[in-house]
Amino acid sequence: MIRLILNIALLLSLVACEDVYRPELMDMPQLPVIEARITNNPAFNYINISMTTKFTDRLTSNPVSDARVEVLKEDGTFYQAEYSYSGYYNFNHSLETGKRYKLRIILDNELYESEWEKLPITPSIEKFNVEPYVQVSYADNLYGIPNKYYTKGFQVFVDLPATDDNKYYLFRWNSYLQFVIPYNSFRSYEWISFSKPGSDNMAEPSLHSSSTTISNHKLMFNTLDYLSYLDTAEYLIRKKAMDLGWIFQIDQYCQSEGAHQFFKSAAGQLKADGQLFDPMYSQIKGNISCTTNPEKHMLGVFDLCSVTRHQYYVTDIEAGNIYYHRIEPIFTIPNEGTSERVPPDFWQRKK
Amino acid sequence: MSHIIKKCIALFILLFLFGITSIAQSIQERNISGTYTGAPLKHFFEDLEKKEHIKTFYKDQWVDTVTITYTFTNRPLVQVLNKLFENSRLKYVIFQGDAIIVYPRNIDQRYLTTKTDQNLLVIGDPLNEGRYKKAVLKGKVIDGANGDILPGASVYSQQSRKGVTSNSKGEYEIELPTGSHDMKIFFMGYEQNNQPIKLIENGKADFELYDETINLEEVKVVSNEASISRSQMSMVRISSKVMKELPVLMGEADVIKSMTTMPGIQSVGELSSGFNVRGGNTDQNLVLVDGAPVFNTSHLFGFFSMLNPDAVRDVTLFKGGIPARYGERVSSVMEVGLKDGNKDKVALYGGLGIINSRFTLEGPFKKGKNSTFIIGGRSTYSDWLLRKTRNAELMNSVANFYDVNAKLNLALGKKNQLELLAYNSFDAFNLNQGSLYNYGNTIGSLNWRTKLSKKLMADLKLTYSEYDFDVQEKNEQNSAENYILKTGLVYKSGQYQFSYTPTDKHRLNAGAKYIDYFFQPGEIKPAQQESNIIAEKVDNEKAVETGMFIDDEFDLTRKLTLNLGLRYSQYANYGPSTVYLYDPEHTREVSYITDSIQFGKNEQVIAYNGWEPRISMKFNLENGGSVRMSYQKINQYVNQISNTSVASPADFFKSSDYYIKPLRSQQFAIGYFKDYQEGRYEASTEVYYKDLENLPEYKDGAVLLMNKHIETDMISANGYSYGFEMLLKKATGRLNGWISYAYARTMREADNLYREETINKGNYYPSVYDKPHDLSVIANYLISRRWRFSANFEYMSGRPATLPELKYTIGEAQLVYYSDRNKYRMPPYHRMDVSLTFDENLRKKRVWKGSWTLSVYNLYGRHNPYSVYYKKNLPENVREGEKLFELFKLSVIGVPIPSLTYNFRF
Repeated sequence: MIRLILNIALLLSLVACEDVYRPELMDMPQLPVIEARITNNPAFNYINISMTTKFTDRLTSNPVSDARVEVLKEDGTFYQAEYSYSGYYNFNHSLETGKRYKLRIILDNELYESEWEKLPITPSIEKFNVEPYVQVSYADNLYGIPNKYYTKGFQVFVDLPATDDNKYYLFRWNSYLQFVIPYNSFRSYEWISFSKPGSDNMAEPSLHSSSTTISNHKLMFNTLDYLSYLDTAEYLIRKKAMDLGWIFQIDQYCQSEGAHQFFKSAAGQLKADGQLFDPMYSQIKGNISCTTNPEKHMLGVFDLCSVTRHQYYVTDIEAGNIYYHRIEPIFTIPNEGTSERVPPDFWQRKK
Repeated sequence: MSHIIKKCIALFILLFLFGITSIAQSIQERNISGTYTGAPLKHFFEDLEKKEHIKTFYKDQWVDTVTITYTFTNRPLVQVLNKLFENSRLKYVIFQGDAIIVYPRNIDQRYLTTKTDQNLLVIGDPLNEGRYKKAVLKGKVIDGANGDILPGASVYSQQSRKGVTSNSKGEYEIELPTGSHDMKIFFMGYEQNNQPIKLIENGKADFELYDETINLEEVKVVSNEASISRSQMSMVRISSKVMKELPVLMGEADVIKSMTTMPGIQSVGELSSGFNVRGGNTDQNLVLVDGAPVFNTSHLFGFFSMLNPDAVRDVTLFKGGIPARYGERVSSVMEVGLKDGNKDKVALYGGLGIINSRFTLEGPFKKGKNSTFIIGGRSTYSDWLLRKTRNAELMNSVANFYDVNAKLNLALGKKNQLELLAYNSFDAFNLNQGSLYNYGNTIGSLNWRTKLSKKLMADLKLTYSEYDFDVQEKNEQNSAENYILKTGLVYKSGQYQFSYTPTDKHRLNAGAKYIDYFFQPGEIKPAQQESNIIAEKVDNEKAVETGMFIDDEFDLTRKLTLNLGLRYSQYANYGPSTVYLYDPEHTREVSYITDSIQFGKNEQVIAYNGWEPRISMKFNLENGGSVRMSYQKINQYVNQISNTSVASPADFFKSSDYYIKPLRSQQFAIGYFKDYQEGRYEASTEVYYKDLENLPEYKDGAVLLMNKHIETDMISANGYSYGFEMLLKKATGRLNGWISYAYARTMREADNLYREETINKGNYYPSVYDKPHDLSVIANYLISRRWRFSANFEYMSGRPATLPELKYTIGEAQLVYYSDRNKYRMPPYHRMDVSLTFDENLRKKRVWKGSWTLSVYNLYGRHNPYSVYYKKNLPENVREGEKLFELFKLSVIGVPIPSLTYNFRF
C-alpha cells in the first residue's frame, strides 16, 4: 500500500507534457541549400543543391538543376560538376590530400563561394575492439509509464588519433550478418544488412583533454536479440542457421573543424528536447557565402574531407569468446543475398 | 442669564471641538506656585488673575462650595489644573491661550459616550492632559496568541483620518493630536482591534491582534512605516502570512512566487525561481536576506524557493524609486526579512508535505528579555521517494536539497542591538546516473544598530555570501576523461549608515558601503589522478565596489513631500589578469588577437564610476489620494552570464571588465494612490519608462562556459521598457483579495559595427521577457472561522520566441532556418489554483495547533508552454496529419497537481 501511495505521489510529480506545436508562420523568401561532400575518393563524392521550403509545407525539398558548380584548386585549376537528377551533381575528380580547395556556385546570377579548405590526410583507426555490451534504453509500457529495457549485444570501440591535422571524424557504417543454412544436399551461404540509415557517428577529442588519442570511442552497437528483427529471427531459427558472423563496413571521414561543427550543430538542432532549461535557438552556420551580394544567404556546407573504408569480420559473439580480424576493403556487398554451395567473394572465415 | 451662559458654554464647546489644538500652548506651560489648605477654589482663581494675569470665567454657584487643599511649587499650570479638577464635578478648558473657562462636567456631552472606562486606554500622565497639542504614539503590533510581531499591520485613527503601517520589527510610530481617538488596528488574517485611547502626551501602546483569517491588509503597495520613505512608490510588501495562504505547488509556500502576483513582477514559468521586474533580466534583481545578497534563489531548479517560508517575516520589493541606500542592480531590490524570534516563549512549528518537510524553533534566551533566537531547516525526501519507485531511470537519479537558517537577536543594553544570521543551502541533481550537478549558497551577516540619541541611529552591517556550483562529469567507458567543473562567487561587504530624524516630517540617511567580489568564472579539474584531463581555469576576477549615499526626505509644503537622494558608486577590477587586444578592423575573434596586456596581482585593470541620483515626490490631493513620482539612475557592475531564457544554476557571474561595460539604467515613474473606507479598499496605478545601456547579449551559438575569451562571444545591447500597472485590493471582509494588471513592453537593440555583433539587422526586437499583458486575481473567502477557501488566477501573454520559418534537408536530417530573434510569441500562460484550509482549533491557550491545507495547482490542467523546440518525432508516434520532424512545446506542469500539507505549531 505504501509503495502504491508513493508511486501515485511520484506519478503526480511526473506531470510534464509535450505537445506538437503548429504556430502561424509568415511567408518568407526561400534560400538555396547546398550539401557538398568532396573527398579524396570520387566514389564518396556527393553534391546536392535545393531550395528551402516553408516550415509548414509537406514538401521537404525543392531541387535546383540550373546551378554551375565548380571546385577550385589553390593553383587556379578548377573542376566542374555535372548535373545528374533531382538536384544531384556528379563530381568524379580525385583531389589531393594536403592541397587547398574552395567550392564555387553560380546560381540566379549570384556567386556563392566557400572559404579555402585543406583536404586532410586520410584517416586511420589506431585500435579496434569489440566487447559484449548491454544497452540500456527507455520506453513507455502499456500504461504509459517509462520503463528501463536492457538489450544484450556487442559494442564496437575504436581509438583514433587526435593530432592538429586529424581530429574531427565522422563515421558511417554498415553491418552484415553472414550465416550458413545447412540443407540436406547443399549449404546455402546467406547474408543480410543491419544498417541504420542516417546514423552518422561523430568523434572529436574530449573537452579539455590533453590526450593525442580519442580513446574508446563508441562506434556502433549491434543487438544479439535477433527477435528485434522478427523476420530474420524466424528465418534463422526455422532454417537452423549456423556459422553466424558479422562483417562491419566502416567509412571514416576526416573533416575540417568548420564542417564538423556544422554536422554537430545539425545533430544538436534535433536534440533540444529533454533539456532542463530552455536553450536559446542556434542558427546553423554554413561555410558558404554570397560574394556578389552579402545580403543573400546560402545554407548548407562544403565538407572537404578525406575518407578511408575499414572492414572487419567478427564472430563467436554469443559464445562470449569474441573473435575478429581486419579484412581488405570490399566495396560492394549487396544488402542481402544467397549463394548456394559456393560462398561469395566477400565471405569471411576465422583465420 | 442662564440662557446667555448656555450659549456661552455651547460656543466654548464648539470652539473646543474645532479649535482646541490650535490654542492650547500659550499659558498652560507657565510655572506657578501656591499653598492652599481648605481654601475656596475661587481664591485660587483670584490669585491666578492677580499674580499671573490669567482670567478665569465661571459661574459663582458652580464653584462656591468647592474647596481645595494643594501645595505646588513651580509646576506647570496645566498640571495644577488637572490635579485640582481630578475627580471633580467641574472641568476646565483653556480659551484662546490666555483664559480659563470652568464649567460643570455634565455639560460636556463629549464624555457622555457608551464606552466603558475599562476599555479606554489612557496614554500619558492625566496631570498633563491638555498640556500638549500633539503627541507621538508608538509601540508594537503583535499576535496576541503567540507574541509574534506583525510587520505591515495598519494602525489608524478614525478621528484624525491618519494611519501608519508597522515596520519590519512590528513597530509603529504615529503623531496624533492629543485627545480621544478610536484606533483601528488591521492585519490580514486577524480580527480588527478597535481600541479607544486618550492621548495626553508621547507614549507607548502595544496592540494585540487575534487570528481571524480574513483580512489582507499587509499586502502593501506603499507604506508609511518609519524606514520607508513617505514618498515611496513602486514598492510591494507581502507578509509570510499572505504567502502561506496563497494556493501553491506541492503545498509549499513560496517567497518569490507570491511576489509574482503583484503588478510588474513576472515569473518565467514553473521551473524557475527567478523573476522579472518591469521587463528586466533575472540578474537585475538584488535579493537580500536580512541585508545579505543571494545569488541563486531556487531549490530543485526552481520548483521551490531557497528560503524556509516559516523563517520569513515579510518580503519587500522595490521596483522603482529605489532608495539611495541600495545600488548594485538596476531592476529591483527584494528585501527578505527573517523573523527575530519570539520574545515570550519557546515555540516549535513546521509543516509536513509530499516532497519535503520543515521545522522552526524560536524563543527568548530568557523569558521576557529582548534577546531571542530562531533556527530552522528544510529537507526533502525526494531521493528516498525516487528509490522506492519501480521506474529504473528515476531509481538511479538524485534530486535532493536542504537549507538551514539560524538567527540571533541580542539586545545589548537599551541602545544597542546585534543581529547575527547564518544560512546554508545545498542542492544535488542528476538523472539516471548522468552528470551530477551540485550547488549551494552560504550566507552570514552581522547587523549592529546603535541608538546614538533620540534622533540619531547608526547601523553597521557586515555580510558574506558565497555561491558555488559544480558539475561532476562521468564517463563510464573512459574514466580518464572524468572531470569536475566549478564556478562560483564570493561577496563580502561592509556598510555603515546613519539615520537622523529631527522631526517626523524630516529624515536624513547617509552612509557608505564597501563590497569585495571574488568571481570564479570556471575551473576544470581531473576527477582522478590518472587522467587525460588538463586542469584549466578561466582567470578568477577580483573587484571592489564602493558606494556612498545620502537621502533627505522632508515636507516642502503641507501637501508636498520630497525625497532627494544621491549615490556615487565606483567599481574597479583588479589583477592578476590578462587582457587580449583585438584588431579593431574586425569583430572580436580569437584569430584577430593582436596583443595582450598582463596585469599583476591587485593591479587595477579598469575602473568605472557613476553618479546615481534618486528623486521621489508625493503630492497629497484634497480627496485623500496622492500623486507620486520618482526618478532613479543605477549602475550594475555584475552580470549573470547565460544564454538560456530561464535562469539556471549553471549560469555564472561575471564582473564588468575591460570589454564588458557596466549596465546603466534610468527609470521614471508616476502613479496615483488612494485608499477608500479607512484603508479597507486600495487602488493604485503607475506608469513608468526605463532606459537601459550596455545589456549583455550573445552571438549565435556562443560558448560561454570555460571560455577564456568570452568577450568574443558577447555583444553589447541597449533597450527600453515602459508599462502601466494597476492594483485594486479589498483588504477585509469575508471575501477579500486583489486584482493586479500590468501592460508592459521591453525591447532590445544590438546595432554594432560588425554584422556578427548585430541582431535583427540592428532593429529593435522584443526581449525574451516581453510579456505585454499580465493579470493576477487573488481571492480568499472565509467560509467559517475554521474553513477558508482561496483561489488565484494568472494570465500572461506568451513570451517571445524564435521559431523555424524554413526547412531544408542535409543527408537524412531535416534542418530548419530560424526567424529573426524573438519574432514570434508563444501561446499565453494562464492557470488557476485553489486551496481549502481547515484549522483544527482556534483556542488561544491550546498548546498544539495544526491546520490542514488541500490545494490544487493548475486546476484545469492547462498545458502552459515552458519551451518550444524542434525535434524528430518517433516514427511510431506520428499520427495522421503529423510530420516526422515537428515543432513541440513542453509544459512543465500540464496536469492538476493536488497536495495536502499539515502545518503545526507547538
